[in-house]
Amino acid sequence: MSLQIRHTDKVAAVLLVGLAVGVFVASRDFPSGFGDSPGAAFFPRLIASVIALLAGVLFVRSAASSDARSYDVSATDAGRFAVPVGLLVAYVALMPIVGFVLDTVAFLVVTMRYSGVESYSRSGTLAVALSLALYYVFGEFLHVPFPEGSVVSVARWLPSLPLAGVV
Amino acid sequence: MSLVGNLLQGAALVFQPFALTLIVTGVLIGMTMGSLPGMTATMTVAVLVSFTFGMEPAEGMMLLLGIYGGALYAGSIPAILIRTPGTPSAAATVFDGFPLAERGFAGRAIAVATVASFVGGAVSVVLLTLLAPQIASVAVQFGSAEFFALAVFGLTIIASVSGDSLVKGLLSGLLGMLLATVGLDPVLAYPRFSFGFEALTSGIQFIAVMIGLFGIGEGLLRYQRGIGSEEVSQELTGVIPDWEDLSEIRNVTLGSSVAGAFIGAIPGAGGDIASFVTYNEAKRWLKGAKSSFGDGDIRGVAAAESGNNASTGGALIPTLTLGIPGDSVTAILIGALMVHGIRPGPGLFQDEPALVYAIFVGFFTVYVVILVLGLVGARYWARLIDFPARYLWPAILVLSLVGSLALRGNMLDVWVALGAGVLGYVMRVEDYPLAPMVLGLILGPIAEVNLRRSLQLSGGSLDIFYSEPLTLGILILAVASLVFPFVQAWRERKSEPA
Repeated sequence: MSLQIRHTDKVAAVLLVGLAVGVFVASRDFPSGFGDSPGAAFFPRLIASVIALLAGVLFVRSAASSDARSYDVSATDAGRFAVPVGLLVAYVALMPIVGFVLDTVAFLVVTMRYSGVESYSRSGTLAVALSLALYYVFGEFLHVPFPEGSVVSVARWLPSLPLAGVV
Repeated sequence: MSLVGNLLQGAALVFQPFALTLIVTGVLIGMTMGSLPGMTATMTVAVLVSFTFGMEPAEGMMLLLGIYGGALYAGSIPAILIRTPGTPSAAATVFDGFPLAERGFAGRAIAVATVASFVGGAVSVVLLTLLAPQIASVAVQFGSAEFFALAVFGLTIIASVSGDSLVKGLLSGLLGMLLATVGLDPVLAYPRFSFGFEALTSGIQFIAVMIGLFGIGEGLLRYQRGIGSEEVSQELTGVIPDWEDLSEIRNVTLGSSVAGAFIGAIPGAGGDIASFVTYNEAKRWLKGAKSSFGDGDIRGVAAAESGNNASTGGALIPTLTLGIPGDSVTAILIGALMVHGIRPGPGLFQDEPALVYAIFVGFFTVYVVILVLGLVGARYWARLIDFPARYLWPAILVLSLVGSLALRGNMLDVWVALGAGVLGYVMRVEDYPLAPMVLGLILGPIAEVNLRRSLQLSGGSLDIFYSEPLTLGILILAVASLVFPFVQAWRERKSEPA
């Protein structure tokens, strides 16, 4: 079973006009400038106006064209996009809950499995090694405050590197 | 200070053990990633830029320039061996590189590509060193009207050269400009489009957007299309060029290097355009090239490779002198400098001369390292081509998100990168070029501040944009860059047989 998506340029044009209208609405309370100087809404509205104008050109050109673009999207195609996006969203959303290290290990194991790595021992080893390497390089060396994890915090049990005097 | 004095000052920053290690590391990373089909220089620099946040600006630049040059060069290896360019810039290398490999001369083709890449890069850095200070000394006198005109020109030229559709290129750039308006108004300090979210008040981090567009977006596209790896069947031997080959490619390499550097200096015209132009011009002008190009002529490999590598030094000319990125990689370099509070532009030559000249010296050193590692290690880079992508892409996705988290330690930047990744995927599928959006993000604030300042100075009159010949000239060029694609399409239609 597949779904046909047609007139994508026209859909994009309508969405872009909607965005331009949204900019005008969202900027209605922006303060005006002093004297002759333009206010805070001036530039975003200028850009939005040009976007709307070009969206109109895109729509007209698409309507006038005989070879309108269309796609047949099968369930497999949709899955190939939705699964990686879903994994990424879950990875980011879970990071403050389970912490960086555990979350990254889990994401890498699942994503490698999805990518075709069948051996859990291989993907698990790589996932742990990369997660710890990133944790130490970014967390300890570059001082990036990784989310600790409100439920589980593996980071609490990890030893600090003896970097005194190095960074 | 004299040019030599400035270069010595820059060299003092580069020829330090740590900086040199970063150059070699950057080149190794760049060559590794460039050897893998589909891994672009932009994606590699975007994903790894966060490693430089904790370094000194000059040190960070050494790593990023190493990756930039290394990846651009190594794209030629899979182009020659498996007919799949490692980076888009190596697409023209396929035409003669792969036929040479098919005849059993893969090593010879890679040797020529390595030497031509070195010459292209080195010539472009010399041109950059000679021209950039002169341009900066003129640009430092520009007023707000000139800078606004330059921002408009930058956007129109990149939209007109970076995709098949001018309208989609312009829309991409304008969306970037619109995204850049989120956060505090640069004149009135009023929070715009923050919708009550405190984190949005400081604006959208454009490095997070770039990481998303080029790292996550590319990853999503790969997963959608399948992430298989290619097999290499050839054994590489003898990648040291002989004198006869060097003599044969000498003139075309030098000519393509100079041409490639100037093409690279046009915002948006990166290595891919430079290599196609230099390849086509070499085919047009060289003796016997019309029949031999495409069948395995080493001059074809030299023209394409010197052209694309020369675009790198060229791209740094507008980046450093005007603050207008020459291509997507230099846009990320601007972002990396801005993380350290340094804004490229004409003032950079006065405020940070040691950094500017360290970039010149460091980039030249990058190409020397590429020459050595390319000739010595080509057979090893060739083996990387069939490295299984199933291990690589999950790691790239994690690095992209960690990189955006490293910007401010803020989860908002991670969500921004993820959103930009989805947007980048949709844009790629729908043929919207990504480079104009990146340029829009950088040029948006420049255009806005200078437009509003100009209008304030002129009392709201538009006279200020056409009373000065320079401003008017730049704006005319901007209009010309919009009209040019239509004229070109009309000429092509006219020349087609009825």
